[in-house]
Amino acid sequence: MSVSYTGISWNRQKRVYDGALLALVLAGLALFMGLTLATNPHVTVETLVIRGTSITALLLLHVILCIGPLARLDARFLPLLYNRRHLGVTMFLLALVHGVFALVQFHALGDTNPLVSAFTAYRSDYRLFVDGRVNIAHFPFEPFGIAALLILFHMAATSHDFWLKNLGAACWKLLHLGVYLAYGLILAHVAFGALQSERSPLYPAALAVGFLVVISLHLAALRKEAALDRGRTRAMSDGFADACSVDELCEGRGRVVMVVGRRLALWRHQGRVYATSNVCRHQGGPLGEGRIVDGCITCPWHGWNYRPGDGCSPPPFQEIIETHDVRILNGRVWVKPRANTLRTACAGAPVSDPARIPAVHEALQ
Amino acid sequence: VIIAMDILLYLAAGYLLAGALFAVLFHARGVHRVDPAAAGAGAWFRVLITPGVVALWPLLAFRWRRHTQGGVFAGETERPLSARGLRRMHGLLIQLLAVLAPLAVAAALLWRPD
Repeated sequence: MSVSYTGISWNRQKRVYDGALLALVLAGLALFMGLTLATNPHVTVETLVIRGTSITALLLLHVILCIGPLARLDARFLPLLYNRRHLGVTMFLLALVHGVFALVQFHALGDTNPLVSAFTAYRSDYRLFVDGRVNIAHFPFEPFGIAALLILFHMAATSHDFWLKNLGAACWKLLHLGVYLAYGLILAHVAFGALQSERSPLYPAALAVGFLVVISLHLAALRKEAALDRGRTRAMSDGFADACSVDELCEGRGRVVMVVGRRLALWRHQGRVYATSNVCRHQGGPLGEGRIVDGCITCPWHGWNYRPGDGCSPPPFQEIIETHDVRILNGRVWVKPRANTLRTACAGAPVSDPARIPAVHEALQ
Repeated sequence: VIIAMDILLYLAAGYLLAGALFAVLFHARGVHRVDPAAAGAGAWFRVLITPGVVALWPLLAFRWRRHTQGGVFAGETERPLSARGLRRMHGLLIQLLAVLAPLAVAAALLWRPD
């Protein structure tokens, strides 16, 4: 969060993160180029670059795709989420080097514009069906890669918070969901390209393992999210919904609860209980999985801050989240599903609140 | 096909050239109007957003025009993120990927020439 933009706000965590990223990229390039040299000593430098950057970028893409669900499944992976955009931009740059070298190596030596050639090189000799059989040899696989590269470019180019703010969070998130389409296109690009000539079973096996890990983690995370969404409101009384027991709230930590079909974040701070929206104004991070630091709710994803009392970010920041009225009765936390007007000061409910809630008269189905 | 691709490439080149010209104008006069937080931002910030400005220039031109007509920048009018809607879309994409990608890879491997 910032009131004015900087290129990159460096801190120790980002330096460590980017140092590890650089080491991973250099190790990947050295490993895959070394292996290629060992198995084929006569390989050209261009081919080395094309293969080294493509495999390293693919490896990095798998890491990027695994970070999100890992962080949803286990909070210990949250630090990996913090600077994921640098991983994405690095992966795009590696893919770009791969694309440019491949374009020059395979399409720049003819009379046709290389970019046109990449889309049309197979026009004369390629037929999908020959003599009634599927002809997969020489299937034009480059368009898959170029389409994926275009998606990755738009993601990398809009990774700065300027774009998040000016495209709007929903539009920005939708744009960045394009990574799954790019991943699918890259799998097709590899399968119809490199795997047609590489006969070793190691390559398809590695691709399958990577894909299974990515999909399994995502399905497990989706299942966890769906289970949370299925949570029902136990009861309603006097416009308040029974959310959870006070004992389930830990001092200084958030808790996500379902209140009338909507996720809210509950907080226990200095003997009082507060309720706020669960959605961070930055990238929609789950605030309720964060904690209170220096008196402010702190998003677990990128550390954006909000005061629990009124939902406002501390000055000079201007972000605001919704707050909800809270009551406590007989050790249960009751939350008003309807949010307060933005900036409304809300004192929260003391843990020993004597407020009386009329008898429960409506159980939600 | 080649002629069609040539035309497409010329159109893309024209779009990007217009984007480059827009980027110069935007950095000189528009960026701090579209987003007040960009006022006083450093040169590296401008370098980082330039590829996006060139690629998405019609969108920024629309925002800039709306600002000059008395509107406000997107950050103030943007509705809060619908987390549930995005989760649904995310889930749908994952399920599509889980089905379609193995089919495409399997087809490429099963029918690859000897």
